[in-house]
Amino acid sequence: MRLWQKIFLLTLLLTLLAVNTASFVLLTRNQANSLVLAKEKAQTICSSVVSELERAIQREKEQSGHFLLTDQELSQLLWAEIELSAWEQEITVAPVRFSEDAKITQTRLISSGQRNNLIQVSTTAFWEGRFFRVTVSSDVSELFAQFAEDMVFSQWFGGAIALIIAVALLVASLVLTKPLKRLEAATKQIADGAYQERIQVKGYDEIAELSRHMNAMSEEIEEHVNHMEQILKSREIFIANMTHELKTPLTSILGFADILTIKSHVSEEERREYAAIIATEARRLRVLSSKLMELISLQETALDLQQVDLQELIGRAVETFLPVYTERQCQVQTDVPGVKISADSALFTSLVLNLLDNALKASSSGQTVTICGEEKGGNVILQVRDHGIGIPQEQLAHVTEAFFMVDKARSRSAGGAGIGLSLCKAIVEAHHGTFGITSKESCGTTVWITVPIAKGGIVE
Amino acid sequence: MPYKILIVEDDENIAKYIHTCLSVGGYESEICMDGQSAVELAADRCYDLILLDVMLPGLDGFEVMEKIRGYGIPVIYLTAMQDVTNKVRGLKSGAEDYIVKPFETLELLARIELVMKRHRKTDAVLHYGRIRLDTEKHTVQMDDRPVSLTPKEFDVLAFFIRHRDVVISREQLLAAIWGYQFEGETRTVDTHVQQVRKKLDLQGLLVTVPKYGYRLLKTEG
Repeated sequence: MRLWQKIFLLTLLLTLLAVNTASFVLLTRNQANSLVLAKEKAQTICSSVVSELERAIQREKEQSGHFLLTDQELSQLLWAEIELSAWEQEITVAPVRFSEDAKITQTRLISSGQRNNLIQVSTTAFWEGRFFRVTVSSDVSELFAQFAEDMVFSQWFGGAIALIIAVALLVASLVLTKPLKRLEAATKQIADGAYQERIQVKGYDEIAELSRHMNAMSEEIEEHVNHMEQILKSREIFIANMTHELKTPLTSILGFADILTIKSHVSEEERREYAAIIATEARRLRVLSSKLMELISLQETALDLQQVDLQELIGRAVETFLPVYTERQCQVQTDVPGVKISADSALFTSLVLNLLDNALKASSSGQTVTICGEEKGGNVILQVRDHGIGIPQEQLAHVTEAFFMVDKARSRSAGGAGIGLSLCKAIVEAHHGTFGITSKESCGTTVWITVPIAKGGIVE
Repeated sequence: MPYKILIVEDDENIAKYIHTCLSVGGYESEICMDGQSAVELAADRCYDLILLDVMLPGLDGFEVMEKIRGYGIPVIYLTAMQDVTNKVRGLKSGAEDYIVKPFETLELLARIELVMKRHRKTDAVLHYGRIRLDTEKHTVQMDDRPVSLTPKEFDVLAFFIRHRDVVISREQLLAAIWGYQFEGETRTVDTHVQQVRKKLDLQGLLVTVPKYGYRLLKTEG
């Protein structure tokens, strides 16, 4: 049952009950009063009838000069008196034998059916040595008829009043619950998946309050859903990219191996070329798989955190990479303070190597790559700067996405797989640090990393 | 005149591989590395078929397909993506076939041949030396004399003539002629090849490649 239906029925019943009870009580009281009055009136009439008759007897005795009236005279006189006088009520006079209780004046209500109600007052008179019973019957059917009529009227009236009040309340409740309707519609839409739906809030009552909370709730839900969708999408993109990156070298490897098998005449030159392609692509696959393994194991295994001297770690990394730099006729400059950080030594070395590798790939021969660090508020900021080709502004936001390559052809010819930077970012984040890149095309790129210094790790 | 095929593939080595594949199958081909130039090339030149990579820089394969649909050139997609939605999308966009990387040379050639057949671009009549093979009427003639072959022998011969000078393994023959689901032994292949060799006098031309399979040598001239 809807709320408005409940309100309607409840008010209808309650008002009906209240109005009818009140009118019933009032009418009954009124009726009782009227009856009392009617009885009193009948009693007065009764006593006045008795005294009237007595006066008539006296008058008759004076006129006739008799000391006593005979039975016949008396009954004739009484009959004549009663007949002649115009009493509204029915009056009977009957001789009775004396009895003790007959002395008392009696008042009775005689009801025989709806239309025949009488108030009967009887009293005993003693005239001329004889007892007479004088009875006055007053018809009060009118009173009862009126009562019944009033009852019916009050019921109809009460019903009408109840209906009017119920309808009024119904309208009021519909108006009051209108915002609830809106709320209901909006929540249904939200429940059906329209998380961007918001409820219009008006006023400051409970419903408005509830609406505001609902809005806050759906906002939260929408945010979560969007977040989940984003994660799902980026995972899908990751897998699609990974498939592509794995299958591209595989296609060439399997393809050229197949060609070498089925082609009947392969010249020496062709054979060398095909073999070289197979080797290159296999190497690409090796780089890709090792980087992927690193990326995956980084997400799954706990870090082996130790107090590591940053200066020492970077010194060692640069040393390993130096032959490659010398080959390309590039230099590395380091200026790193001797602070201790809490890090997984192997992972952090791999991070530095990756950055050095990237910087070298971007540089042309003769250029210098700088690694410098500075302490700032409990953190150490490490910068790796090159003066190479740089990254176009609009692609800067994407470079940490897995498999993203600014220049696919150049990156592949340099043996890149497109996951170096996303690996770096993941390593830094695993160390509770932040990672950022600033770059300007044909001016160079700076990668900066902030990692917290280990407690008591500052070496004087 | 050999058929001309356009290869649209952004990876240099894969493009080179496909090019080599096609030359083995006797097709001429051109390579193009991105979507935009593929659209331009398809408009300018008459290609019999386009092999289209889906993941391309600039315009992707589906977008290229939209633009070249009007030219009526059959298209086969080449892609690393093997999920069904992509496949359906590819085929719905009007492509003839959808090949998932990595793929083998003979598979690619077989799929191309099917598409060509559908577009009535393959010759109904194949010639090899004194042999004339009509693939529509299923008849073989040698020096204008009919030779009677069983249907499977006919298919084996047609396959060798189509892939002349290619080394074909017994497994590949099994897959191509009897279908992948056929669980027969490679000896079946040997019997059929021997029959074909004997009936058409191909000793010395349809040679056995030790431990691998067979090869039909090129005829002179």
